[in-house]
Amino acid sequence: MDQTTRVKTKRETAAATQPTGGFEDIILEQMPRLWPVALRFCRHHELDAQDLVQDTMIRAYRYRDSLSVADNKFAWLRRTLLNTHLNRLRSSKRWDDRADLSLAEEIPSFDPMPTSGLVTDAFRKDLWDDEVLRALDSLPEIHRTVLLLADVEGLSREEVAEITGHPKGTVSSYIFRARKKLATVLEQYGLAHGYLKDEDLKREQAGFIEAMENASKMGAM
Amino acid sequence: MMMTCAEARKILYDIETTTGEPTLAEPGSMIALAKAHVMVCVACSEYFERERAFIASIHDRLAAPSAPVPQAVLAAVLETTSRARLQEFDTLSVPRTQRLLRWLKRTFMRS
Repeated sequence: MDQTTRVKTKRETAAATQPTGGFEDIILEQMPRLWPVALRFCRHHELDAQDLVQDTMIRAYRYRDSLSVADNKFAWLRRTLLNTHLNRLRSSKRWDDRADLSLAEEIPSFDPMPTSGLVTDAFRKDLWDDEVLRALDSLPEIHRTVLLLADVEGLSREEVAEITGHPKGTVSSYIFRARKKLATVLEQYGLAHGYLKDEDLKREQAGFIEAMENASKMGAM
Repeated sequence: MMMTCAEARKILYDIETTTGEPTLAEPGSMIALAKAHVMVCVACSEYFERERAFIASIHDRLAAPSAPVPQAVLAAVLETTSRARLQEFDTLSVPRTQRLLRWLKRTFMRS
């Protein structure tokens, strides 16, 4: 064994004996829950998701003392992963705050039509799997991200605002727009592929308008 | 004061479409008035019902709670943590080396 190898082995041995507080155990335990989150935010590109997870682990290792005392280790790691992802997006210029501002129109004071129940029902069907992902990927990055954070990860408006660095009101607008856009994309897909029928949608719409008119007559509006 | 559909939906959109604890409304507040409106307005209650159903479907379809992690990913992650530990060890060792160099300089440069 030459000198270099001997030194390297000593160094590795010394590093390996540093106390880590079961860091690897925590990581191995949480990875099955963390991996789908990474995949979702990386548009299901495995290599990107792997890069993201690795960057997250470097950060997590640096702050492992905080992780070891965290009550909810998954939430801690997910938060670190999301912050890492957003930082990567910003540095890759895919997250253009100035361009995104134009997408943050205020929530309209009156949204007359709810999302079609027919779209929701069709959306739940298994045969829409890939289309759901494609529909989601067709949204602008900011809309896609806030939708995932709020509706898939279940974060509060305050948490989404903190992670994205946007005011809470702006986040609410983004979420509203993202849901509407996703519903529109799915409806168009459903119509084009025969999962939805135009006359059914019109009938449903007419029923809702009638309900609104009745409510108006009763003085609720 | 009776609230309009437009006002009620604007006030309640966030509250009614967020997962988590329900927001308690103080009696007489705008939220309480908006909720009172929704209770008597068929159109608004149906509106929020449908929006919540759509949001629930987004969650159901996209939120896989866990997934098998490819072996290559696990190996890469463990390699990363091991590398992070090595780098940290090196970083920790640097001041000691610097201290030694400074001591050597002080000792031998003077003489």
